[in-house]
Amino acid sequence: MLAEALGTGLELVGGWLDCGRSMARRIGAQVVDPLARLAGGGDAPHAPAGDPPPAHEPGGGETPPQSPVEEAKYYLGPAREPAARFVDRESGELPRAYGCDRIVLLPRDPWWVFTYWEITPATRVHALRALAAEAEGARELLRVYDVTFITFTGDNAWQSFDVGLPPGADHWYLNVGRPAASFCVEIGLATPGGRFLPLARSNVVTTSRATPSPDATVRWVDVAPGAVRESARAWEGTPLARAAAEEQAAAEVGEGRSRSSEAHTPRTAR
Amino acid sequence: MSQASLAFVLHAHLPFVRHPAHEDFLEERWLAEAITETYIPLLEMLGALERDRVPARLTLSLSPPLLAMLADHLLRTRYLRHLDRLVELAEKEERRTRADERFHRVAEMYLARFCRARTIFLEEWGGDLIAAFRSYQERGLLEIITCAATHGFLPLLAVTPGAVRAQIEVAVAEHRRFFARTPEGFWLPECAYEPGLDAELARAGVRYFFVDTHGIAHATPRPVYGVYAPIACDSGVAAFGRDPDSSKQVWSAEEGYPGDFWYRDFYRDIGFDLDYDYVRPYLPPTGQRILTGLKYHRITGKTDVKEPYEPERARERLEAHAAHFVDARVHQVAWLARAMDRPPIIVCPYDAELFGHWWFEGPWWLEAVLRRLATTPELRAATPGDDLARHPTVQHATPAASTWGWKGYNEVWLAGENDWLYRHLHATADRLHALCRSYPSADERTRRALTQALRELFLAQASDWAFMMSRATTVEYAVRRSLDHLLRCQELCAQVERGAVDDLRLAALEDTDNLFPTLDYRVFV
Repeated sequence: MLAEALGTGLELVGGWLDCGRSMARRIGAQVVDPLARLAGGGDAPHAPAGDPPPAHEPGGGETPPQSPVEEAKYYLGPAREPAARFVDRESGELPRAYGCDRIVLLPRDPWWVFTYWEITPATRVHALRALAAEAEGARELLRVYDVTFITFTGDNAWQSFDVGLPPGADHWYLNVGRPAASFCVEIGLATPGGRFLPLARSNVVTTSRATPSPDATVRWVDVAPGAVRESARAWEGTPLARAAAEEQAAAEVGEGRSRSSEAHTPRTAR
Repeated sequence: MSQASLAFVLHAHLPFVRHPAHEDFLEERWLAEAITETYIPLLEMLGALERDRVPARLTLSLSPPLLAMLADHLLRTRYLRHLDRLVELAEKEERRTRADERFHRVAEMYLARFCRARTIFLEEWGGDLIAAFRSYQERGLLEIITCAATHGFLPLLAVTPGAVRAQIEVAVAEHRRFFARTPEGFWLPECAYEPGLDAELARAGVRYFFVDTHGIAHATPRPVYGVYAPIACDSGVAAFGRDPDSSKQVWSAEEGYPGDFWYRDFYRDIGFDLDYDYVRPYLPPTGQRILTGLKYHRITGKTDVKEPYEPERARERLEAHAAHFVDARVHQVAWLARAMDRPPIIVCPYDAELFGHWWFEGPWWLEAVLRRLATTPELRAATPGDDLARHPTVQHATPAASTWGWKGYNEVWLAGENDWLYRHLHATADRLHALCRSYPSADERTRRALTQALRELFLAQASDWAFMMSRATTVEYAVRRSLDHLLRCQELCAQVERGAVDDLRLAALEDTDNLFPTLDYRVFV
């Protein structure tokens, strides 16, 4: 575990974060609108939630160590009461729409991003008019652009892919499949003739790195209060990750040194 | 090489729960339980360590909503009432159990414990636990740090300009108000970091924050010391990474110490076990059975048949676990000493409420560990601030975006159960942000309305609601709170936009959601 903590590779967290992209499952398609649920428990018209987030395996079904603890903060007993017990609740409802064209992209993990959008009826009508004869058979889709390391101008993405949308969709999970990369998404109308008319463009989101960085530069800074500056320190040591790996390898060929992970295994019997 | 550092970091936080319109509101018990079972036992521990001159050093994050609740007159009064009822119940229990020594000694333990809590709360600190923590900071046992204003999950709020900055600035301002100093450290809610957040922390004068292990392991460039030394971001703010070994030993309910069969069981409680009429006066007004805090059984094993709790045996176990923990750290730093050319720092962050509330014996275990550290030459208890003062030269690297939640990223707070929330959070924040910018100055009534709207937005942004929805705990309450604060914020925005602020309504909201008394909406422009 020690060597893993030093960042020797995927086995640290990448193992339990292994995306398992092929093991996709659909979620969200049956999500009950929380507002409707509160109002009377009925199923609101639901929008498809898009590409399925992966069932992360291994670890996908595990509860994280701290979850029971965090949940225990809020646990008072199993029985719950109806909402009527609040006298100080608000009676209104949140708007279904905010009347402005917008698409927002949010990071979920190194392989998935989430997007939601709103396109006003006026914009749709305007767009269909602009397409004129081509509007026949036009359908809504998301165009996802890989904009890693570039300032996106609309036509300079490294690559892009499209996701067709069912009618009524207003959010989607996108399997971009690339850690440490930047993405932007447009919602627009695609015509049978291949024309794409964007209606809104999102912010740019960068997915997290899921493995140790290949960059092995070693540079030092002094972080004394009020004087953060480059340090002249020279360093020719062995990175701990490599030291850990070498030590483990040495232990494995029988030099007699114990593996650090064994030293830290709880020895206490219950 | 000089001593390695062991940095315990306790993150104390609860969402702001205050319902003045209700005489006895169920979820206000979260605070009452945390005070009795965690915060007071921690203060008792600090008192004992100081009395015995043990050189203890801990980092404690006190979130702004928690500070607001601990400072609130109404909630203090309600807590005292709750504690008085608890003492009364424990007195009844002491009498009821006299025929059975196995339970009687546990009942006596609770009675003594609750009476002691009352003494500490009322007589030692006059109801002001913030003063208690401040005092231990001034006497060198604690380094108190802050967290985001309402524990907002910052990477998912960042699409609104200024939203992250406001969460950070207000937190730092609240910390200064209570502790008269800028916090050295900042607990990012859920350890949720993304590159760039550090610049906002630097702007607020913060010097360090924490990330989970993989935030450091996957940092760029690759940190040469792994999680055993901080790294410095572009902004000069340092990031400390969680040590996975010590983390697992304490966090894990299955493999970790808290799951030991001799420790007290959390779920088995007289609120469910005893005759309904007997416990009824101690249940909420609705009469539903809930946890009372009096629990007589030990974990026993993977069984529903639980044995009586034996405090002495639990004491023995926690001493053994403390010894094991320190021994494991000594082995760890001995290995690290061979590979590192600076003394390592082992960072052990935990939810404070783990200690005492979930793991009943946790505060005593922590005290036992700190006492052992004082006589362990290889290790010393230290804070990240101490470490930076001793070793100000730090490798430059940017942590990877990460959280300490399930699977290590944002999935707990962005999932099918709660993703509907962000559309409303962002739209409401954008609307308020535009409105605040349109009022470089404002008359008193508009200023109050915009400021209250910002309080409501902050309350809606708390990561706790999304967490509860995702983990299926108190979902209804979490959804209700999210909706209520969003609706209140939108209502106030509409009133300001129309130039028709409703004075009575505004005063009522100021009275209910009364945190951050010195807030000014211009922090959000």
